[in-house]
Amino acid sequence: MKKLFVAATITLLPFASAMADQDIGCGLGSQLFAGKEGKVVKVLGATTNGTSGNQTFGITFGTLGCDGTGTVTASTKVAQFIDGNMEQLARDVSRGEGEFLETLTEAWGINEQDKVAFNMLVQAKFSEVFTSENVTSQVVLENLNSIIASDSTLTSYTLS
Amino acid sequence: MKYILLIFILFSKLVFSSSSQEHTLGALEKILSEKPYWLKLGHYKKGLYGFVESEVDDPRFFLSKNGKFSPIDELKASIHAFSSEQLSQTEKAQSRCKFPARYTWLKKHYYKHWPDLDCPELIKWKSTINPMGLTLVFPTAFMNSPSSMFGHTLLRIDAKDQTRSKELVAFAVNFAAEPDSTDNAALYALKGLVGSYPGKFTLMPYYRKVREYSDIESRDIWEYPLNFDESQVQRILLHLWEMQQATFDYYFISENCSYQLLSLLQLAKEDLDLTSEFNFKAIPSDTVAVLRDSELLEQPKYRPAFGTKLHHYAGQLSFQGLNAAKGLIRGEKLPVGVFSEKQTAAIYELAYEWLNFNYHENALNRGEIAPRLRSLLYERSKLKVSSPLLPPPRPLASPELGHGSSRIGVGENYYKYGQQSLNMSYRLAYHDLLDAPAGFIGGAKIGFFDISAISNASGLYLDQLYLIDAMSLAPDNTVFDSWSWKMKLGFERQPDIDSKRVGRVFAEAGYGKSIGDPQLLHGYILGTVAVNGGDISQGINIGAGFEAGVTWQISEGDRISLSGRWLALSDSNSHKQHELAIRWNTSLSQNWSVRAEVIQQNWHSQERAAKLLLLYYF
Repeated sequence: MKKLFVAATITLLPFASAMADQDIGCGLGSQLFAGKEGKVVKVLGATTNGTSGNQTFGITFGTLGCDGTGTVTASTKVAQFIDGNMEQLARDVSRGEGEFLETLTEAWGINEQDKVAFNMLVQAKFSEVFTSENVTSQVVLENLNSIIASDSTLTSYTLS
Repeated sequence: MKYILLIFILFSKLVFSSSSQEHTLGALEKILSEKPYWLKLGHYKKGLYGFVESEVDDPRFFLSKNGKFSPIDELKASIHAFSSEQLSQTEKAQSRCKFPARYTWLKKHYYKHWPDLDCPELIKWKSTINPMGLTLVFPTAFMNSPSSMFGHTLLRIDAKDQTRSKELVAFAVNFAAEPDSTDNAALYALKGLVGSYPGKFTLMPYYRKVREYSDIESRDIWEYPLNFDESQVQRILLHLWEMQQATFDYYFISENCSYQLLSLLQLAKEDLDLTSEFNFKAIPSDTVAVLRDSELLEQPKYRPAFGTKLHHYAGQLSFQGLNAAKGLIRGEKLPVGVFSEKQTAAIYELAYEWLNFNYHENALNRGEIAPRLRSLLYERSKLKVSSPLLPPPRPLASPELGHGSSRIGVGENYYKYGQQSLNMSYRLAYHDLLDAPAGFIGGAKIGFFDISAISNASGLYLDQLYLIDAMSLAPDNTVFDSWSWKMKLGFERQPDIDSKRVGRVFAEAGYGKSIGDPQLLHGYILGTVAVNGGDISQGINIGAGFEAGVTWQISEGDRISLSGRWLALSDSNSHKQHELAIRWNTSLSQNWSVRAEVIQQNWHSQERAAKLLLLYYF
């Protein structure tokens, strides 16, 4: 189901990104606390060690990147990481620390000396990033980006 | 006449020279096709009857029609496709870029005049992956899924600019069966087991695998950096690129993830051989062992599973704190002024993790739970303290320090009524409750094909054969409410009317509870149902009752177990069956143990046996 949903989002991409305020990311739309995925993966993985769902590519990852050509820009990487790790990220943001938050700052390209400021900022603005339990990864990315844009020390990290 | 002779000489010279050139070329091709590296590139292996055959089952992987069965035909076809003047430049470039590892190897050693590899897509692929090193990832066993009982293995390609925190976005190389998405779950499970889905390599971000194993299935993960240099990693990746074309029949025991990863890794070096000792069985711990023996493993890192963390976190809260977290999970508010800021943070963090676990595990109502999860995080975000919860400690022994996965034993059996006998035993796989626990998950027993024979003055007898002998005894604790189960299928001997030991063919299943810590003192009780046949019963009879046991680690190398069972039987000659056993195992080293057992069995009559065994794991 999730796969279908993401596929649909990708198909609608030109339209969706034209509608978005900022044209960043992939328009990937997995939802916070989407739930139930666990059971499905468990059943599917039960005998073959395989997985289902998005973000699994063949060896050449023809579907990697937003344009399907395998080109991965920094913002694509950030968008895909957020999309694949919404819950873990929400948890780390609420604490202002953790491996997933660290990975996000690295993928975002935040310099070592600005990481503490970044972590403190997103923790303080938790409710502006994860605006509701129904927020999607695309919106989370846009929220993060606009919070960074309006912060005087971090504004240079704004993705475009 | 002279002319004729001259012509003849000229002609014969011509014929001979060209044939001798052909001869040299043919000889070179023959030599090349027998080189171990060429055989590794084609995944060729000697079959049961001595014929060479490739394990790849996809015709797209071969350039010759006969390629699956003939390394030399495939070599000739490859050389032709890479360099023949009859082919256009585009055609040749296509073949070279489809099989860059073959091309590079042939060019490097024997065809130095060939042009350099020029494949834009391959270059782009490599620059995206940006490889520096490889890590073997070993998620430990997961008892409740048949394919995962032995664990799983995959690779992570570590990038040049990778830091510890960025390994989540590195690429993972996974070998798995590729299911048909239209099949339903039951069909899926069945087809997966019998190997009717093709196996394939895929790449994905490592975080997907971490989430799958660590978060969803709650399996601890071990990450072993592999001792390969950059050029060796490049060689492995070139071949991985070729594997796009390849599908394999995925067999659960033999041609599985572990085996295929080894056949990929052995391309790192010309003379590296990782697969030839695996004839019919390769399980993940064997992979780890063979890499350890080839000195390719470095110190592993430990990534505790979600469940391991949750359990460890819960132990760090006071009784009141734990109750407060349970209240939050139910949707209550935290009492004001009772807890310090640090304690409050710990309570919110535990409540979130716990509720989130239940949400996924029990598929709770999203409408009710999702807002609660978000508000727990929001409340936590207001506290400007770093997380007060400590991560779980690394287990003392990592999997490469565990005993070998197969076992043989020899010893002596003494019977009260029967003759003293020599005991010889073999177990294909894997681990029981008394084997040295280092490197294995606790409270789990997995026996596959466990056979023993006894020999005495009257001859040689099959004493027992357990095809499957599995127990999953996860204990209950503060956080997890787990059920325990067992399954056993096979043949053994029980005392007949005259205390003579006769055969019992059976299938048993049990379900129940466990308590304690498998590393220290651990107990279980199960309700058990058995179906019995063979000489011990007249026709088929059913048994029902219970069994229980305690296992105690009395010192670093010594384990003692006491177990018993009592079953009522639907047999007019014998209404019940019971058994009591005490066992002691002392580990002499990683792969040697001595085991003593005293067993009393009651069926139609009673028999007592004492056994002393020397066990070797390999």
